[in-house]
Amino acid sequence: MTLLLSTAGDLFWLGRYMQRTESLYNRLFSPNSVNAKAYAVAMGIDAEDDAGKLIEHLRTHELPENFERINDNVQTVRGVIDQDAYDLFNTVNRLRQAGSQRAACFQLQACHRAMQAQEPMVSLFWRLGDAVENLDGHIRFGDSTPVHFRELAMAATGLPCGVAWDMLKQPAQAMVFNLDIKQFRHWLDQLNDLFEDGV
Amino acid sequence: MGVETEFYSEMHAGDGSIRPTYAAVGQWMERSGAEKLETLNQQALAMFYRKGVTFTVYSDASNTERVIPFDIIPRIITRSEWTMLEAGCSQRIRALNAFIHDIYHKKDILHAGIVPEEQVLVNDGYEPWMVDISLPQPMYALISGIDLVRHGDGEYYVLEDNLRTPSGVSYMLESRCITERLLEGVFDAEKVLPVDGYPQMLRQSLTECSEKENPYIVVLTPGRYNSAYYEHAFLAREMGAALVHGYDLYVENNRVYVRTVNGRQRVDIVYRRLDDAFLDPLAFRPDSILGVPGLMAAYRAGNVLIANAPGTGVADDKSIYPYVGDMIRFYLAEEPILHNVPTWMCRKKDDLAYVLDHLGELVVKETQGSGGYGMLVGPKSTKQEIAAYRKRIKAAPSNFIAQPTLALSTCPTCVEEGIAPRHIDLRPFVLTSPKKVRLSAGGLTRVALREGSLVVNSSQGGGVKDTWILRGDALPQAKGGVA
Repeated sequence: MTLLLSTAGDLFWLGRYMQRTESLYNRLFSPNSVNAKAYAVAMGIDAEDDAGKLIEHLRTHELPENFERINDNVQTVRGVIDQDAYDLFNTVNRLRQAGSQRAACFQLQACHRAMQAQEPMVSLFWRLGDAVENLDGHIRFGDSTPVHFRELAMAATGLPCGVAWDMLKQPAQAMVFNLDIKQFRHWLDQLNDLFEDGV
Repeated sequence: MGVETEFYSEMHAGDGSIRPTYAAVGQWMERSGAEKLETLNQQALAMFYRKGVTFTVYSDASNTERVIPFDIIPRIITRSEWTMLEAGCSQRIRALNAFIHDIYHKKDILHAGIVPEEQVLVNDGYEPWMVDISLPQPMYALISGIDLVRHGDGEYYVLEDNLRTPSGVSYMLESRCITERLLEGVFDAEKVLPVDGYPQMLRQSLTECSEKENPYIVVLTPGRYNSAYYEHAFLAREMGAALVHGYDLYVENNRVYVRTVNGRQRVDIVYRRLDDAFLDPLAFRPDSILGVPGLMAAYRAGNVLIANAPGTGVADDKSIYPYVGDMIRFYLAEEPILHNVPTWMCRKKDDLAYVLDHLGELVVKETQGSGGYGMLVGPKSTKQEIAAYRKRIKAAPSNFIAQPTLALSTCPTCVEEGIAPRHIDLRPFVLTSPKKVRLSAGGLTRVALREGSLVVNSSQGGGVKDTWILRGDALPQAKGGVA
């Protein structure tokens, strides 16, 4: 089955929001967590002065919003992901609705595995989103490495054949060597335009 | 139809004995006990919940997504009964398709005075865009659902025909999955007709209609907030079709294309799950953002098949329903196999007078209504509700029809109080192609879970049961326990 362009875009954003949510959890609530204010600044979130309030805001607003967006994207890609993957995402919903966001974050990791096991083209666009968000996050926190660029290049290389997609492949590979953040931003704009305007 | 007040019990004969059809299930129920059955129901609910088998209730302020209640005790139909129902549904759909073709072309049935012109031509479901369109095949209602009930006299009656976008087939398929999992030892796949071939049967039927060898099929959904979105995604996945929104499609040179990651792809069949009004903003509602501009032009040019065809709604309007028997005689020169429920049409003076005098005994429905909304069940309504409804009928009589309150048959159902009889109906799904009319084996049995309730719609507290069509006329004795 040929993947719809809009579905590819939804898979891409599913990958991004899953990665963003896991990252938020890991960076804020894990033993090696960063300062909440540093997190808010890096992610462009309006920062409260009071660290406690900020943490509360991230926990009660940012995290639930991310879960909502994950659910939105899961619903729109429901026609192309398998039943097992959908079951796992459904469990994420149940856990967060029951107020257990921590467990929902753990469950997301199972969804992560399930998305890796989907049909190649479905997995690919999800993986592209995952890699973009991962790299973007590390750039924002100033700890990006060639590994993050390489993950993006590997996903980009698997994109379908065709002039529009091909134009993204070579620059993605070049970034592994030049680690050019400006080029990454430009590349990302091109990708977004492609989802928006078509191939 | 007589005036039976006794309900027909699907499981028990008049003397209280268990009918042979239900003998094995009866033994299993006795062995299991209400508590075990309740546990199985909870397991079934958990399975539905996990799989996201849901529907949306619009009457809730928040449009809540709910899991459809499932009852573990199956509804069983013998092969001989099913053969009759199959023939009756098939006959009905053939006549209805002939009717739809006729009213958009020669209008013979109108000229013959069998169906009044004003009932058809000013009907909200009549679609002038369809007039004189020459389709490759005169097929309009390709996917239909016919609601059947069994009255106190033991006979089946057609409650209504659903020719627009009938839903519920995914519940039928999921119900069978649950039965297979939880009723091991009672459910014998060799003795019951399978239902799992429906998605492929649908694909084949649509393919035959398109006259293309390997057509590109899309399922057009209004989106995730539609009450049947689960089903749209389910059918797309199971048929190997793309689930699309209006924004995925576009029309160029009267051809329909879908945007894919490999560029554009020509679309041959649009299995649409949205109403006529939203299909094409250039032809219907200009404010529709769910449809595809130019879709009707492509359809008129014969470049795409839309299933079901726009304008089929006129034939499942409740004010047209009383004429289906005449349609069968007119187009097929056959006698109807299935009975219609006697219907009073409030647009007729005498009928209106009768209805207003007997509101407390009748079921009154809006001619364009569906989903169990907007109807009055006289015997279950308060004086105030009846008075309010009377005003509505008087204000616009032609918008209403009335029928006797049917004694829907009952089937044992596992409810809070234990095992108790609850009213049920049956919706077989009918697929029509130029080659043949195909039916799902059985269809969806809906059950009114509230005691005494005759409303089986899921949006109003109804649930579903698995429907077993036996290969013979009885199920052999159960072999063991349940899983």
